[in-house]
Amino acid sequence: MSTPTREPFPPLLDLREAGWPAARMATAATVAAVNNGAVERAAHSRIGLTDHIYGFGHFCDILAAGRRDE
Amino acid sequence: MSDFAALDLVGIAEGIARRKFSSREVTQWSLQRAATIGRRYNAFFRVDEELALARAQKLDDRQARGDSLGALHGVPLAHKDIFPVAGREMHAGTVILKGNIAQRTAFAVARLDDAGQVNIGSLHMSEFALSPTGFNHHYGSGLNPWNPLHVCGGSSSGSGAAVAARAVFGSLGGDTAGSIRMPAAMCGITGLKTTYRRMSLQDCVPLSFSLDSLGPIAQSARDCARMLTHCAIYNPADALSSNSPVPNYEALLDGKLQGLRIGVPDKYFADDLDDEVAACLQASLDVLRRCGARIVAVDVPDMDTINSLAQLTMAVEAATLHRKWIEAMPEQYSEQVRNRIDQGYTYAAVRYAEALSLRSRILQEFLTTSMLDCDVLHVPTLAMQTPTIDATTRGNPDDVLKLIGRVTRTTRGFNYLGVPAASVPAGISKAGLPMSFQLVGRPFAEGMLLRIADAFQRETDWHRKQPPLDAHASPQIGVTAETE
Repeated sequence: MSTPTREPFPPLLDLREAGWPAARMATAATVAAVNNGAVERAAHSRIGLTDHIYGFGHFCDILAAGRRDE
Repeated sequence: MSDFAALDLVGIAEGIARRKFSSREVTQWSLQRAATIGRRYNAFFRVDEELALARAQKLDDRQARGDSLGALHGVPLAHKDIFPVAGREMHAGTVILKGNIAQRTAFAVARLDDAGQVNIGSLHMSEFALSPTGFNHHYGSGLNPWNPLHVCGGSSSGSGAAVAARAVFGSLGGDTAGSIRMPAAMCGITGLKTTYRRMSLQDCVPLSFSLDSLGPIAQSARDCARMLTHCAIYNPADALSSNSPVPNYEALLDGKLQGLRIGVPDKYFADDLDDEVAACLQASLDVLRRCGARIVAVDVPDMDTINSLAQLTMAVEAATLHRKWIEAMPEQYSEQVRNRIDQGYTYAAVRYAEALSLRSRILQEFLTTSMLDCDVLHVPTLAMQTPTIDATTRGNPDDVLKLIGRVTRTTRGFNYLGVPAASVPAGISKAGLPMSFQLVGRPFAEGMLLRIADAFQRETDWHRKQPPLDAHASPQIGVTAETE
């Protein structure tokens, strides 16, 4: 069995290869960590299987149902 | 030549309809204004003088023949450069699309053509709509007509500057995180981001297909209502276009607010609020109360989480849209824009899918908590004073990024929720720059927002204030400094 040479889910773009300096990489990682954490916590506490399945359609339905006659 | 600067879009349309002046006269005036004042504030990418004059003449001829007139008959407008017009260049503030000649006209612009607009050119914008301040490395920053040392807001920067400088009487913009509301707020005019899918995005240059919305920018709510009535039409060729009924928005403007409840959130939006902006918001609530509205305290969901969801969604979708070009010609992007796009490649697919799956649940929470006991929310459009161009382009990159993040702190969450939001001018700061409030409604409640904004504007004249254009020495056009 060969040893994987890359991480299981590598970033699509290697920012270091793209020329990002270490300071900018750190800033980007900080921003990403905040957003990733917020999404992960919200997903953990709020959504289940069917939310994933019906995602966009459900959102559009709620938009349409949220309308009030003016 | 008459001076039309004191008139708004509706005033110009009525003047033409009553034959007080012709479309050609107004268009000539507007073109001259665009070529001088518009250029001074870097508001235009292109002015189509010959085409505009020919169109105005044609409309005058139609009127002379007794043809029925559209609601925008003969009125000079211009739009953000994400809206293609067949046969004319559209480059969305980029180098990559420089020289791109559009094959067909955007659906929304074509509807304004049907209503009789004279489209005089294309307006400045941030590169690929990726700056809330109007920064553009390639073509220079948009400049604020109230003070050209300050940003004019973006990414619909030219829409804000051109309408505020009275070079055109209305404009269409696009809004992914605040790009209509921000230039409207910073330039002292009225801007409306519509409900997600209310206006068809067909043929427009996208930034984030889950968050992008369109809308009008003009002097008054009545102007916006007139434009929206003619461009919010269902587009059967666009699968995402809403077929929700489109009212005559202008007919809803009755100046009456009795029985309406305006919700003021008790948290988040009051944080990090500038003192002058806070006083301005309070004064605007006093006016709305005098108009008959009831002010109520409301709860809001966790806006920090909603902002994170919006930020992640926008970053991933922008990175997805730009991946091929980023790989093939990275040098064609400015560094600031590259930095923002590249951030999108750092997120995992699962987080993005979760962000989209959460959207319906969080919208439901918003509707059943914040909007249950009120008709609209009243919050700041911009919680801080309008920053200078220097503060948003030079210095420590981290500080600059933080400042740019603060600019859209009170707007971008509503793009994730998909609900409509309007920016309404409500004061002038001691520094001489406009301040505004933001109204946020239930889905498809554009009419309600315009009705409240119009009632406010019947009692105030902030939307009529004109920037002190003559006071400025010729500002330096072409600020191209990057954050690093």
